[in-house]
Amino acid sequence: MIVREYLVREIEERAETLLRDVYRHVYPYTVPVTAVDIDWVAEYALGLSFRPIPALRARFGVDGLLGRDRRGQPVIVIDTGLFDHPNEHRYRFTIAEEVGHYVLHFRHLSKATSLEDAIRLYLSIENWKAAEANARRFAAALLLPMQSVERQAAGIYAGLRDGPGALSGQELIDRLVALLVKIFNVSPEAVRYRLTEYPARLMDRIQTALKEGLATLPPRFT
Amino acid sequence: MAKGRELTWGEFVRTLRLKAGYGLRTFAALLGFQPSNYSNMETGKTKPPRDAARLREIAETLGITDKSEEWHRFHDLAAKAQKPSVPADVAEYAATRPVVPLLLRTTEGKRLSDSQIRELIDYINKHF
Repeated sequence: MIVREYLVREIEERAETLLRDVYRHVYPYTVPVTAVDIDWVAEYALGLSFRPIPALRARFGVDGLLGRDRRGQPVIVIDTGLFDHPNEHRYRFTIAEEVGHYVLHFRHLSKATSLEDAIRLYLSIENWKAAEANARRFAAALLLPMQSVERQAAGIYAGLRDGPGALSGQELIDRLVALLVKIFNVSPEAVRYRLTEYPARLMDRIQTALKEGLATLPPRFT
Repeated sequence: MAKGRELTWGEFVRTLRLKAGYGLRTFAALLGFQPSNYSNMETGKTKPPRDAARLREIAETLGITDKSEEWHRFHDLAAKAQKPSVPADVAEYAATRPVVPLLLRTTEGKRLSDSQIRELIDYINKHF
């Protein structure tokens, strides 16, 4: 089986549509501007449930998986250690990836009606890495919605630049990343990576602003 | 959601929790439960608290008004959940239908072999 490789734009749109839909009563005109409650999105919007299972990671190297429970309902099975870990970053990203798999790939996989079907289907996926890349991109778009990151980064940049005490360019970037980590409850690595992504290319714009001594971030590059 | 049978305490609480806008971990944290312990209560793997004050705390966090219809139902279902019984349809499903993993994420990005995935399925079904 070949899993479709989605365009980045398509994935961003699918994630944004999901967020707009589920948060429409809280944010009628935009996507969430702070951390998304990823459990609630998975449970409330998509009807997924969670089952923590001990030592899934230690025994099988599996953080989480998407499957069907005994009633045929979609379920995210997750390693208990990850589920209970006080640092939520990895947990949140894992759940967001499973949500990505559910939104982008579950329709094809749900054709499996028996255990043997499911095993055959799992083993028959030829472009496994593409499926994983789809889910990873979806997770980033869900936890770090581009327009919200852009809005927050612009505000933080202007605030830090105008604030007391002179910061070097690197200090300002580190401070900005740390604040985005807090706002969106994701890892610094995820924030840094998201800042480099198209179409916003925020890191390039921050570097340009620093180099040219701008008080605010320049608009998106065309 | 359960069809053709009464909701369990966990299903009832889950419905109210999601309506109130709480994800599982957020809700567990608000009440000071470890997420897996709270999840096990909702899915019926473990029983709800016996302690009246703890139950009240959960009800209040869900926004259930004291002595309302929901309040009575919440407590009735909690009391029922203390009895050792498995609904007939759940027992039937458990015996005949295994949990089926469809897509999984390994820490090293590796795929599991046929035998590894069978072992994993066995393991999950034992612990589910």
